[in-house]
Amino acid sequence: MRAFFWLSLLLIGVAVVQDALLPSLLPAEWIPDLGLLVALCALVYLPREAGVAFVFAVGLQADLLGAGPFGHWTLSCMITVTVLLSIEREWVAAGAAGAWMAATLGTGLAHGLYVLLGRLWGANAAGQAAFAQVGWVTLYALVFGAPLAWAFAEFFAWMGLLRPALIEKRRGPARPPRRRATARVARS
Amino acid sequence: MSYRTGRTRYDVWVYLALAALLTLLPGGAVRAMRGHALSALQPLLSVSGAGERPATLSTPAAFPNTNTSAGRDAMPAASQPNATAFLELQAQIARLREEKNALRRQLEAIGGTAGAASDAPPPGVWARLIARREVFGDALLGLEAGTQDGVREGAGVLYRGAAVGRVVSAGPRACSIAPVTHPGLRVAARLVNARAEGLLSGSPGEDGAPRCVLDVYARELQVQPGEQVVTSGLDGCFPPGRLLGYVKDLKRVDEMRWSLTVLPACDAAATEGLYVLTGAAPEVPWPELNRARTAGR
Repeated sequence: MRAFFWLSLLLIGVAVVQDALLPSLLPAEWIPDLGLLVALCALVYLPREAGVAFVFAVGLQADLLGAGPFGHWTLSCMITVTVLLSIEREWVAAGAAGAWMAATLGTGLAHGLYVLLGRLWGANAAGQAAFAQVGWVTLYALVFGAPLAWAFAEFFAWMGLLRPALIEKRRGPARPPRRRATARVARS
Repeated sequence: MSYRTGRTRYDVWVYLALAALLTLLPGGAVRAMRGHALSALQPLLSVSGAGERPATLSTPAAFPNTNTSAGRDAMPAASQPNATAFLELQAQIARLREEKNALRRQLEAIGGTAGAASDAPPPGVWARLIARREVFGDALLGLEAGTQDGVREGAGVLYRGAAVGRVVSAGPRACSIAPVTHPGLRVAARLVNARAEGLLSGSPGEDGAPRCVLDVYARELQVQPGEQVVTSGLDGCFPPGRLLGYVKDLKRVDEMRWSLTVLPACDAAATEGLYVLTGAAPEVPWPELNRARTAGR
């Protein structure tokens, strides 16, 4: 329930920042796909069920607030998730660096799939320039992904939403058990 | 590799199937959902604001009398207030030319007097831009006006008198519009001097910058780069004579078909607010079939 509450707030916040705040701060060509970056970071940091549901919700939000053919963003995001989860253990083991790489590669893959789906459906006239744009979006994901991956690792840890494996990793290596004072007394 | 057991192994496939089903939703339901989603977010989007950036305007100055025009690169700086005033004047000139032609036709038809051209703006509402999303030429803009303000789906959207887009979905407090450069949008258009009519649609240019393409069916077409393209009013969304853009170049597709590249008059995504037409859909001048039939009898 706590995860649902925080992720709902995050979803709304991402939509507002992506559609209202960033366009006023950055030129239209430089705006990263913030929603997808956050969702793919969440996929690595959160328990699998919550992560997958959050990526689905972000894809749906992009479809609802976008102008392209409906469902294409959600479908692209879910295919990307399927591909990324095939090496889920490696992403999780790498921690923030894994989230960064997953977000970057996932952004490129999702955008590429979106263009391909648009071509298959004949819905948008994406040409060579669209594939060049995929490259740019991936580059922005690489740039913006690093601070986001770090920030969201801290955010999810603060919220207590991290995967158990990542919680263990953040605690560091297990210390050797301390000797009990009673044992020392008994030996003496 | 990760191997899972239990229900978590199937959750991705369930979501994938759901996503595939979403693509099959009917257009009407999608438009309603989009309108309500934007309307629900409207208070937050209004507070954060989509920012105010000076509009990017096209002018015929970008078109020397040769086909080697530099296009957008040669356009004046967008931030200059002169450019906005220039767009307003151009839109007014285009409308007056259109009205002059309409009056001339009326005069010829009735062979006598004709009414004066009205300079009153069409009924509408000025709405602030609250959201912008541009992905692969599919730009969508959110406006702070909805069905409560009289906005309806399909209504035309103007900026300083120039036609810049159409409402694609409307919620109670917000609506989303697609600019004329959107690949899915069609606007009935007319060339001001050549008097040829066609259908204007959005298209990504070779350099990725959004452009429009005007398809005209005619055996011969005398068009110069820089010629104004205006709305013809035949689509029932815009009144006739609203400036859409300028012809950049043209090519003959086949014996009867011409494809004209059109630079939009204004980049709707770079404006601070837009004027949404709220009046009833303009009368489409279809021939009165019943009267013709009656007369035939």
